[in-house]
Amino acid sequence: MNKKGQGVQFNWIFIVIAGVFVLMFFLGFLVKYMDIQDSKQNAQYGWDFKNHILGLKSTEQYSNFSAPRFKINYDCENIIINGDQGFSMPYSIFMEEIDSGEILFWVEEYHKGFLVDRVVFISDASKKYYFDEEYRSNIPPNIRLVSSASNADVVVSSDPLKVVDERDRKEIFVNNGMIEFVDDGERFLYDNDFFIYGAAFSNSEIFKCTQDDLEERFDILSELYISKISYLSSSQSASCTPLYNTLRNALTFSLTAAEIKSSNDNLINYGCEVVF
Amino acid sequence: MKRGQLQIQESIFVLFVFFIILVIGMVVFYQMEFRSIERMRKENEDVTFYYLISYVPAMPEVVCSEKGIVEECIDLVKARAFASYDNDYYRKIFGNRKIILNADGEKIELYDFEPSKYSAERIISTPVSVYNPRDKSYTIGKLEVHDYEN
Repeated sequence: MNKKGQGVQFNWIFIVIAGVFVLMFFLGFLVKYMDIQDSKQNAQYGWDFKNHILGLKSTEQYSNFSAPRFKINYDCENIIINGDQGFSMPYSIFMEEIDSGEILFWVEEYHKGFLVDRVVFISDASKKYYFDEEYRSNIPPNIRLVSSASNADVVVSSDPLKVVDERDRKEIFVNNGMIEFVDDGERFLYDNDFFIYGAAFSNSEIFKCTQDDLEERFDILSELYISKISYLSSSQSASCTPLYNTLRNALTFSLTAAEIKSSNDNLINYGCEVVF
Repeated sequence: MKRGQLQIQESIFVLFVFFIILVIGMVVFYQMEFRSIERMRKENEDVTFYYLISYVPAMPEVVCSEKGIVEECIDLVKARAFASYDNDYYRKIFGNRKIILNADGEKIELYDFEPSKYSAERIISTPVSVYNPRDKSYTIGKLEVHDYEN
């Protein structure tokens, strides 16, 4: 090959190598740019989601949230959007993994003698729920209820014939003060129907940590009410003191919700200021 | 030096300058992107901050209730008890903020986590109805939420 020919060949090799570098550079830039845009969008969904929950928590209510389809995971402390952005979520929530653009929210008060918290139930709005008749009255209209267990994505029943561990749906068996997640066999005691709805909206892991969180909140509020009792018993008539002591004991020893409530309600019958 | 070699060196130099300009452009672009992400974070934190002013008076820790039924006011005795309660539980909810209730000439710090260093402080406030169970009276109080920016 003559020298001129070698020069032309070298030029082409040089152009190809330089071209590959430029192309890789632009492709790398494009991929990174798309990653940033996705992260920005996930962050925005996360913030919207978090603020939506905070906005709802002031009162009992329900609402729906629409966005392009996205995936939400919750690990009891953070929500994770599309497996990317994590946002701390320091509120009591019942939910499990959601992969949808239409999400429903339901805020329900949890009482154990007194208001403990307003808990947020979150689910895919397209999910169909079957509840036994006795549990249907409290459910808000944005939740899709079906009358037959065979059409449901989630079945909550006290009838063992309706929860037969079908793989394509989630089943919750309610029996003798016990909630059982049929899929993994986890069982939990419950003292309020509120937790039956919690089980329908969450998995056993989330259910347990939300139940624990509510227990912690109950303990904090009990302490606050015991302080209030000390203040009130010193400012009310002496005849109120035994009644306040009864309520203090009910709170100190975490008696049942009914006992706590009746000890409080009893105060008004004797002209004493109620605690909650 | 031969003419061909000179041409190649010139081309390499042009490519080098081209890449330098490209890198500068990318750095500027990413900085703008990160600024826009930071702006977005701040805007959303603002929304959270404004939501708190309606969330705090409705919290079970301070809200009035009678026989389990919640009323739209703050219970002064509960607020005092809550102020003296030191628990990390609320740190994850309120973060670097301070929440003050001014009622009956009294200043009650419901929550206080003022960082040692901050660049700015913002305050929002709202009037609230305050109930004193001692004499069963209602007064108008002011609830303040202080937000500290780093």
